[in-house]
Amino acid sequence: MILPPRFIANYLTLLIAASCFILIALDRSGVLPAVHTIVVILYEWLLLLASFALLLGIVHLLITHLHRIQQGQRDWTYSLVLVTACSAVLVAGLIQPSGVTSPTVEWIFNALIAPGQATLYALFFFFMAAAAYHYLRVTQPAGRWMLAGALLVLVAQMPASRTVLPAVYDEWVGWLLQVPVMATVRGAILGSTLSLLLLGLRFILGRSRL
Amino acid sequence: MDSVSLALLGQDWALWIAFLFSLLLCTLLAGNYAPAKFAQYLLVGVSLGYLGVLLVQHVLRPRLFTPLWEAPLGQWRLWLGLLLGLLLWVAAAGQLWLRPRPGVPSSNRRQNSHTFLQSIGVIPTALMLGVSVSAVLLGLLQGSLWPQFWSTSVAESLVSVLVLLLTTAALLHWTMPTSQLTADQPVYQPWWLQQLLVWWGGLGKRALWFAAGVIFARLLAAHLSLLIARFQFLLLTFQKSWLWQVADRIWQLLVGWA
Amino acid sequence: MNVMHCPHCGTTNRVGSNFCNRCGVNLNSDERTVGATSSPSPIAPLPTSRTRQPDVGKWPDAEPNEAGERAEFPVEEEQAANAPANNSPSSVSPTATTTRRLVAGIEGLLDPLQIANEGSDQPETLALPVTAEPFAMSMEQVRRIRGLLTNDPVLLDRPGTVNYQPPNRLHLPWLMILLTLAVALPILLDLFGPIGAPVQWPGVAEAHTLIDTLPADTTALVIWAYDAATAGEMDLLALPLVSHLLARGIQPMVVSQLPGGPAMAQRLFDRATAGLLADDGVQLPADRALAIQAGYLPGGAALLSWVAQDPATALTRHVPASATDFLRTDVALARPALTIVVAAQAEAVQQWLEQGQPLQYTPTLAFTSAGADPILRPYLASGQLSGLVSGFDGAFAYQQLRTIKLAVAEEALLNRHLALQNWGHFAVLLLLLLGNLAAWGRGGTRG
Repeated sequence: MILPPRFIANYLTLLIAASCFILIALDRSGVLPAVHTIVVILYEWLLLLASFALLLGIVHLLITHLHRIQQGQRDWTYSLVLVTACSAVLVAGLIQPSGVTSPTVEWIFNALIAPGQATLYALFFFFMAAAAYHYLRVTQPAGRWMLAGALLVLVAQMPASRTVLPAVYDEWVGWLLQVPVMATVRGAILGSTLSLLLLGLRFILGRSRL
Repeated sequence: MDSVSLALLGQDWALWIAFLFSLLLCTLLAGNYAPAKFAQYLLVGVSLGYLGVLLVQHVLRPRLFTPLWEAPLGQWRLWLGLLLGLLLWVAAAGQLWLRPRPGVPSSNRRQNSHTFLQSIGVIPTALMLGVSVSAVLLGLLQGSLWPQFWSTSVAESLVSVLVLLLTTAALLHWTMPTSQLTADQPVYQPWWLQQLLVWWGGLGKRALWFAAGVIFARLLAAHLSLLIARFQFLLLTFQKSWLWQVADRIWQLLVGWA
Repeated sequence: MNVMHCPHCGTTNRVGSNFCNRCGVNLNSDERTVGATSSPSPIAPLPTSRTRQPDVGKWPDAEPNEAGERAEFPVEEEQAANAPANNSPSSVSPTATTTRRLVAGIEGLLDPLQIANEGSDQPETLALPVTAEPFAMSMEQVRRIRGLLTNDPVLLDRPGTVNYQPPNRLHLPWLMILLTLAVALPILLDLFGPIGAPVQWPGVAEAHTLIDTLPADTTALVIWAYDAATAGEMDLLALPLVSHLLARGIQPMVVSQLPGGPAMAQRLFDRATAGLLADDGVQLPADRALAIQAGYLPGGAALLSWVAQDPATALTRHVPASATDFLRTDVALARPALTIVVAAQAEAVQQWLEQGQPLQYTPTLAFTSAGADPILRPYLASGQLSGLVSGFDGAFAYQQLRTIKLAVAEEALLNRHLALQNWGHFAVLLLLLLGNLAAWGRGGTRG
């Protein structure tokens, strides 16, 4: 009986995933040291495949934007900027053997990439503050408790509060962070870890329910 | 201030380009208009190019291309790795160009080619997924679940009892919220057990809200640090500009006149 | 190759196929008999299979031809059986079964339904929007179907309006202006009043002691998990750490799983080295590299296990000085005595604690963003982390514990940062007060 391709593909995926799980489990437990060589090969291949996959993502994005330029779709001029910038950096980096440590690419990193990323991330503060303004309110049940926790820590971490508040306040907030908050977060970590484990086992075993 | 900004303050062209680029991105606060869009697309473009150069020159070249070029025989692991990577690319190309489109009739040959290419892409994909998922699962067991469970259960002092109580309360609420607890109770369960579970879950809920507030406060401090660093760079750069120097001179004149 | 066309969707199938590849209709159905009219179908030529009889009928919505007749489609056997006078004599199978079915013609999704009327001989057809060529839909039809499949369903029995409240807007111009003034004005006007001192959270002293007691000439593995996006805060933390490591003679081996990580690490190391070289009291080793930059490691958390078990084979040199200049060909790397994770997100530390630490059995320190601090406290309490330094306050407290000071300019930057944190926190507390006053003013309803 000739099996349909989709059937073979599904079972091949499961077989490979299960084999990897067994090999890595044996390696991590130290039960069978001989499998370490095989596991290192798997890690090498994962590294290479990840690189190929990332390059594929870059190429796909470029193709998508080139298609947008070609079709004259909305915002095609911005796509042109993206494709031009990407190509320029690629050419500048690939023709020099030192790659990203070449003066040109380092200049691009200093002048564009680093300031751009830093600025985008810094703008989050405004939106976080707006969220605090809207939602940390005593009139709402969840907001009441969140406001309590946020206020205690905000006052403690404000450097000027050392001149006003006694030293015991810092110790008390430190204890709060080390004991009740730590215990709560541990409960959340345990819950999320268990969920992830179940999801992963489902994938390895190829079942929709466990 | 971060190291890049400090280094930029001693340069010319790079400094002003960084300054203008940062200002363009700051216009996002007003809305996603043309200047912000231009800056975002430019940032994505250069970042993609940077990643491409990094992958080719600093990962694939030293680990794959150069060893294969210098000693092609006896490198079966790398040849197989290269083959797997090419299989991934070929499968992706098939998905991009041969995938059947809705409403467009496709010939059998095209369909068969698409199916074949999808099949050969299974091996590298399965390898990537299998290794990653296996390592993550086993790491979760070894590195998070077991140590955290063990350190909770070793309870001797009153503080440890409090830790145990709050941990289990948070776990209970995380896995089964209070509303679900009250709705799905079996008929034979005694009322005091039901009340105990509701109270316990409620404690976990409030503890989670409190912890969320604490996390939020720390996150605010973190993002405030980022904003401070950005403002320091922008304002110190502005103070180097001729516009600031003119304004400063006018101010000095006014103060002196007053 | 001999092909035949499916009578429902027109897909080409091999001669001899039992079922259509696309719509699944039985191509060998013996129940299919000739319909009422015998006009040839304009849809597609319908070559006969070895057993199938070509049937004809009329597409209800097809455009009429010049003769005023509509395009034809195959009809069911009862229509043929009930209209024997109209049958074409050559196409009627004398042995065709004449089962009466209530609903016919439902093999294809877009075919018109024929509902057999009990009282009449001719089945009625529903006027459904079917084009003359059913396998090719117009763009308008594609859009309609896509809309049906993606839009929220309409509840016909509850026509009342839904009481939907949109979420609060996070784009508040007055708030942005207030926060900008709170941070920018002190910088412009040099308003760095009484600073106070940051709080020393638990875990900072332990981290300092662990590094301070390490013997010189040991190696420390540094997982560099931040890039330019978070460098505004993380450089405050990383600078005292790197300065401490270099001053103690410990050789950091730096690897990053972020593309921008190696570049930021290099810049910070240059900054720390410049500061130490300016200090006459510090002697840096001249016989070896101050740090090993192992570069970028794509592939996710799974590769951290490899780094932990075998760093010499897992890592390679970031700057490819020559074709054979790999880390693994250098003098065998000493196993690191300590692992330090410098991360903006808690996940990076968790990944190391899950993947690497159980296999390496060395102490682990975490230098993280303030936001990651509460999430990593359980790991500090369980002993998986030997020390935890977080946020601007952790950076300041760590530097206060050191005997070797940073450069004067660096210390000034740190102090300025503390002063600006005061202003920022004051603005946030004011915002919280305004938010609660607004809520009380509106009677406790949503603001």
